[in-house]
Amino acid sequence: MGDKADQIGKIIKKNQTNAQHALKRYVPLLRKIESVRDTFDSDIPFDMEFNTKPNESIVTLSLFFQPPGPTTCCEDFLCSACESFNSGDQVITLNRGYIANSVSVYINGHKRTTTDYTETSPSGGVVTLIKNVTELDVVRICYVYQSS
Amino acid sequence: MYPTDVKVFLDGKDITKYIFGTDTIVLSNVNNTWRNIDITPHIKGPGLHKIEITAATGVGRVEARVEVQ
Repeated sequence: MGDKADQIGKIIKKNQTNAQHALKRYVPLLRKIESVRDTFDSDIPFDMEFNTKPNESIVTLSLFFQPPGPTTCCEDFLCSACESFNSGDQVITLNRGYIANSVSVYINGHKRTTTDYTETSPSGGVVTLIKNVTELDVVRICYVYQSS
Repeated sequence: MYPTDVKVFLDGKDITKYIFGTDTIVLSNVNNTWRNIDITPHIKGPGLHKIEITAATGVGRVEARVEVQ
């Protein structure tokens, strides 16, 4: 009888030790959320990046599509426009002048930094690419202008 | 004009059918929402991942939300 009670006691103690060990190893599952909102079209795809770590096992995606913003512009307002080129030229003249420091340049869908182009003439709508491009490259330039 | 032939890529792999149930979708003029789609089977290991959404024509606006746990 005494031996059996000892065995039961040992089992209970071992279970207690395992439970304490498990509790120490318990790591709460923290939810990490990455969210990006942007427009996209045939030239410029929407893209976002996110990171996963080895201990993260569930990844879910939600997509909320919304109607695009207006494509026309009222008078006396700031408007935005995008134009695409595949001429291979480094000096590009846009359809209109733009507001300085408003230009964004995409080459083959990838946004370039300001070190890759120069806003040569905002009033004349001229942008100069520092990076060499060919006729196979699609250059898309987006900018803000003052409507009149 | 709303976007046509919308496709979703995860790390360069086309997962449009997995998400929408069709090879491609045409968005309507109302809000189109897909919530909490488990894309875990398409995540190949830890690290940096990229989601791309493309359209053949038109202009779209989307908010993409990724939850990792």
